[in-house]
Amino acid sequence: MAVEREDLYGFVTSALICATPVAYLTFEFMLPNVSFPNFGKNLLITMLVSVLTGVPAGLMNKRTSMGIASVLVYSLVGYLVAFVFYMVPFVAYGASLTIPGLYYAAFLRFTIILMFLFIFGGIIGVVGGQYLRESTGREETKLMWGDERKE
Amino acid sequence: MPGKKWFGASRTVIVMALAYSLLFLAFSIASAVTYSTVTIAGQSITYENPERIAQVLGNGTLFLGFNTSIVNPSPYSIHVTSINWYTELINATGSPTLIVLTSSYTAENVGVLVPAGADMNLSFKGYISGTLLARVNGFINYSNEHGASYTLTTAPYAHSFEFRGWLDDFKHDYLREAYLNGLVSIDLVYTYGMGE
Repeated sequence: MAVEREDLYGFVTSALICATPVAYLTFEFMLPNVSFPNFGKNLLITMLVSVLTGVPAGLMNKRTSMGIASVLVYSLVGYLVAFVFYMVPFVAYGASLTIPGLYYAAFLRFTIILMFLFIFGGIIGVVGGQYLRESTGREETKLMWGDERKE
Repeated sequence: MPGKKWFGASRTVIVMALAYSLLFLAFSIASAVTYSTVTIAGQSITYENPERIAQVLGNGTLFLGFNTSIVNPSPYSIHVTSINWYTELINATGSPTLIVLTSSYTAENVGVLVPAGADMNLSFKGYISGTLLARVNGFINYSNEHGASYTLTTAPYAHSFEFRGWLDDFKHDYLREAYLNGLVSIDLVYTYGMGE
């Protein structure tokens, strides 16, 4: 079955909408003491928010494959956005870096493990979201065409 | 009737997802702003006008002092962890090698606070007399015999000043990630004549 324009719209929208929680979770995991709210580097909270973030991707994508692809894309986009936020003081405000290479490498070292949680939790969320989408669709069909309606 | 839909998903759901996304975007921006402000604050706090004082008082006592001011232009107050100053003579040819003259230490439990956007003047002083003064005079006499021209006021007194503190309440208890406390800690060091 060919990918329709509507599928692409859902894919792109979910990939953009779901990227911001990933960006915040990554940034907060790197710098919890200057972040608000402070989750305290709690991996359970990170996992739960990852699952919750995957739900819209499941709701907006008709195809499971595109839902999962959306998880991969929004995880990557969110991670890159977090890295941009991490660079803000040095790029936008001209603050000086003491050990430039190590400082940026530290971001990768401390946060790359979160990608596993974002993708794993996101896929669980996508499955849950698609289940909700189908369930809602069935309910709407029943309301429109079911026996109660006919009477 | 089913609700309005955008690409097969309920419009209400998409609006809720958008609100969820914007909430985290706001968190991210707020955190990045705090991060930037803290980083810049850490680099803008400094000491100014360090002044070393050596005077001989009327009763022959040697007075040694050190003045400086901590300049805090940042929007955060500094919780002082320690303020440490000491002065000594480095006696390379004799014993003891170091003649420690006087020192001052202020610990965290004193609760010194440098308010946001304010300066704090620090002044330390010590009075040298008796045996310690005799050692200083011995050092000066020995040095002058070998070509130096020191007096009690011009002797090469070495000074070490160190100011440590935390920005606001950003200090945390994570044990492994030293970089987090490094980001919000202030460490100002001034040394003179320490052989560096």
